[in-house]
Amino acid sequence: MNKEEIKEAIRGMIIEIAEDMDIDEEAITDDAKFVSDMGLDSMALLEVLATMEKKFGVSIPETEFPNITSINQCTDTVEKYLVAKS
Amino acid sequence: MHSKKIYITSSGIISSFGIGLNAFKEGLSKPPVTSAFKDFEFHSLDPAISCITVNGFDPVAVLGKKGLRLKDHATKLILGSFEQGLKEIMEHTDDDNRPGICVGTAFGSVQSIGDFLSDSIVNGVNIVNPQAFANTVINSPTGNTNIKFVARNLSTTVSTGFNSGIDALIYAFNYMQRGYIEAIVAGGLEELSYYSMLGLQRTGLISSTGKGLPFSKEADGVVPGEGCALFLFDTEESMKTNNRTPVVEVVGTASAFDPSLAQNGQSDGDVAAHVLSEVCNDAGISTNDVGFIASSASGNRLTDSIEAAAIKKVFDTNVPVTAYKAFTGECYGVSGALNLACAITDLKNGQISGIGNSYSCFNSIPLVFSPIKKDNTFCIVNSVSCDGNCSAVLIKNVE
Amino acid sequence: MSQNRVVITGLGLVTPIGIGNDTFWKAAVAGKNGVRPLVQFDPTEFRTKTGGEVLDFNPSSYLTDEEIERMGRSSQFAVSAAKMAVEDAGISIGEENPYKFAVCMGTTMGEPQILEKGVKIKYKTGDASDIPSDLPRQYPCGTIPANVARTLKTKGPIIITPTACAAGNYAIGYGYDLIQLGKVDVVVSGGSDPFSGIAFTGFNRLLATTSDVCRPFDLNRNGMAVSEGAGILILERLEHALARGAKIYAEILGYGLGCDAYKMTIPDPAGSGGIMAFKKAIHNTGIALEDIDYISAHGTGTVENDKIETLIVKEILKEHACKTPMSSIKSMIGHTMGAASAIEAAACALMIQNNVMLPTINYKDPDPECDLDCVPNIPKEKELNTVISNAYAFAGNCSSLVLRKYKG
Repeated sequence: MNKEEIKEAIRGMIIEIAEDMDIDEEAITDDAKFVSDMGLDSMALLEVLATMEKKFGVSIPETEFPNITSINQCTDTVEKYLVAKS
Repeated sequence: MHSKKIYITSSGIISSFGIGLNAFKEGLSKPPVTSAFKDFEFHSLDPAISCITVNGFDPVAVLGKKGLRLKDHATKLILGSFEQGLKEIMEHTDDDNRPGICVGTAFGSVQSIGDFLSDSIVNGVNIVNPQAFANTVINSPTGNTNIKFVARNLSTTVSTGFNSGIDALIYAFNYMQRGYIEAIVAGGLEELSYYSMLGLQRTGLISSTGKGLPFSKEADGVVPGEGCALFLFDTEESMKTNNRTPVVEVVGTASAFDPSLAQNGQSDGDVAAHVLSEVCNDAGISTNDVGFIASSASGNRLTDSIEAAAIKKVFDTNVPVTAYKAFTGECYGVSGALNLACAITDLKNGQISGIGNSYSCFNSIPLVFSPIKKDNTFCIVNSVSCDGNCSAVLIKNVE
Repeated sequence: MSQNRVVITGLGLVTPIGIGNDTFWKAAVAGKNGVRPLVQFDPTEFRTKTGGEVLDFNPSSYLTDEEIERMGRSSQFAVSAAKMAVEDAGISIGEENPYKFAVCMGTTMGEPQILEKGVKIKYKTGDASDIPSDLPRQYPCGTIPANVARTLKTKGPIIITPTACAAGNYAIGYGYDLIQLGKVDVVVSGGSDPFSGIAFTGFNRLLATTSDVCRPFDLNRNGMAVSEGAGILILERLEHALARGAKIYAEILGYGLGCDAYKMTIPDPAGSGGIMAFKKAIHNTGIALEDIDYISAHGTGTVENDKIETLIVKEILKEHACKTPMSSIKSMIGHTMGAASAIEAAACALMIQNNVMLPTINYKDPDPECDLDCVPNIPKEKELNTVISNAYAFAGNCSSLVLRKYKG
């Protein structure tokens, strides 16, 4: 899975969460901050972390939780642990 | 006597009859439908099992697309019920006076609880979605409703098995009598789910013929149902201040427990009879004033026979008895509240609905088979559960 | 509003640091830690390996084999604690009008171990019909008060309020109301929750569980500890208690409920529900702020709860806050879910009786955001007349219960 595919999958996940929370579509960009720009709460961030682990089959340590901040940041995190796994 | 007069001024209902209290008039005018429903996945369950699901409720059409992603069926039922006027009442009342919420449910969402558990067994405890955990607390449907309407004054969930709905009405009544609050949305909620159907089936409570025959000696079990029925309880003062119109007045409540029924599955019906007398005392009326009794009989021979014995002990044979569960099925935690909706419909229409074909009943109870046209003032909504709970609410028609 | 005064005349406790009032009290005064590596539940796969378990609970000490067979662990806890409490109160129910006895219980998960057992059988054998036919009826949480009432042979109203972790206070409050309304003379009230794999999994997934022990209000607190137990209080109409010469632990003055209406699993940062419950409790009981001698905290040991709880108390008590000690016995017994506020109310009754405030153990480093006196590590003597016990929960359910020393 290349970086763009990972990002696309994460973007899809964020859009699904954001749509349900009635977050303006324009607010969803790859750099937008989940909390300050989009208004996700800490439970949604936990779900993002959990879904990434499930979707990409990686185990991401809790210490990475503070890095669940944007689509770009999440993509880097997933890539890091996919590489570590292989 | 009670320190406050309490009226029902509004309702929100999703039932097998359809959406709203208005659907009851037509639903009760036709013979009960007790056929199998197939739009429900039973996995390894016997496919011949009958149940009665809610009709005509499309959550997206009623609630919109947003905000439903993490909501379970039970929560959608309760939120959907608010969309029939209760929502506007919540939104148009300032924070301090916004009605509290008190809901009876036997299971909350056992589908959510079971799915969370299944997911953690099948996929692993470190895979299951953390957001799904919130739905596993029994008060989740009630709590979600408080959150949606920013209702801060009260969030209570009551659970007493089959009696949950009626006991939630009693809780709300008592809470208001204590002067804590002027208005509460109170009622019951139950979803049909794989886990509850499995439990009922393993316990042997479900009718294999798909016919719930209340009070019948030939009954072979219950037909499970589901729904949500909520009522706005207003004090007289709150009703006037908010310019709301009374539908019925709640004039009495009573509740007791039958240890013998719970212990041995046997009872002489004395405790249930005590409740029937007590609810009249509480309302300050004579048993002769009661127009009819909305019983909880469902086709469960044990509780039906006890309820019949209790009615026989307290009432003359000229007080008609109905059994609305012939129409709705055994809807567990919502059944008491659904029975109240049926009783209100009959009171308002000057009739007592009949359940169709006649048969021989326990204690020759005067069960209404063909509809009776009669203007009534008082009606008892009664409930006897196999856990031993016995509860009743007495309502008075308001012209 | 108060016509019938309500007093506490009996207590029954099942906790990880001791079963029964005396054992519990001695352990609590000694600051015993009940949050330990889990034994009965296998935590191998989880981030957290500790929690509270009542390891010395032997249902046979209180129940017959037939009763044990038909009850889940939550009911077993509740019935055992209820029997202890009735014995402690010295009431012979058989000699009284059974319709004047109510049972009001609270719980978070009900009987989760029953569902866990059933679902595990289904996945193990692949056949749902392998689930014993008498198992499902043990699951609905309504069986908990029914089992208590059935065993004690009471005939008054029974109820359970599954209002998550504030449920014990809800149940005690409703029991108090039933006596106030003249419905009953005696209420067996409280809460019960067994160790739940669902709750342990859920709190782990929320990253809300502690790494080791529970350290409320400490700067380095890092979570709550899933635990189990039951607490039962016998509430009694004062005249009824006096007529039979009962010993009186304390009086229930009243309570208040509120709701954050914010999020299911995140408390309102502004503490709206807690503030409302506290204000209503003060309004309903007519106590003065300066009368409050001690606060039993919800105090779960999560970063958020303890911070917001401190804010709530400061918002209500203003300048009195810093003079009002507030400790959390969850530091010792962990979070017993729906039983927590019932156990805490029982602990408050014992504190009032002994004029001793139980400590918050595991306390080391002060947190500027939790700067009230948490009675760190060792109990403190103080004349306790008026005590408030706060409990908060999922869905933002908030409750405050007021107890007072009975002086005639």
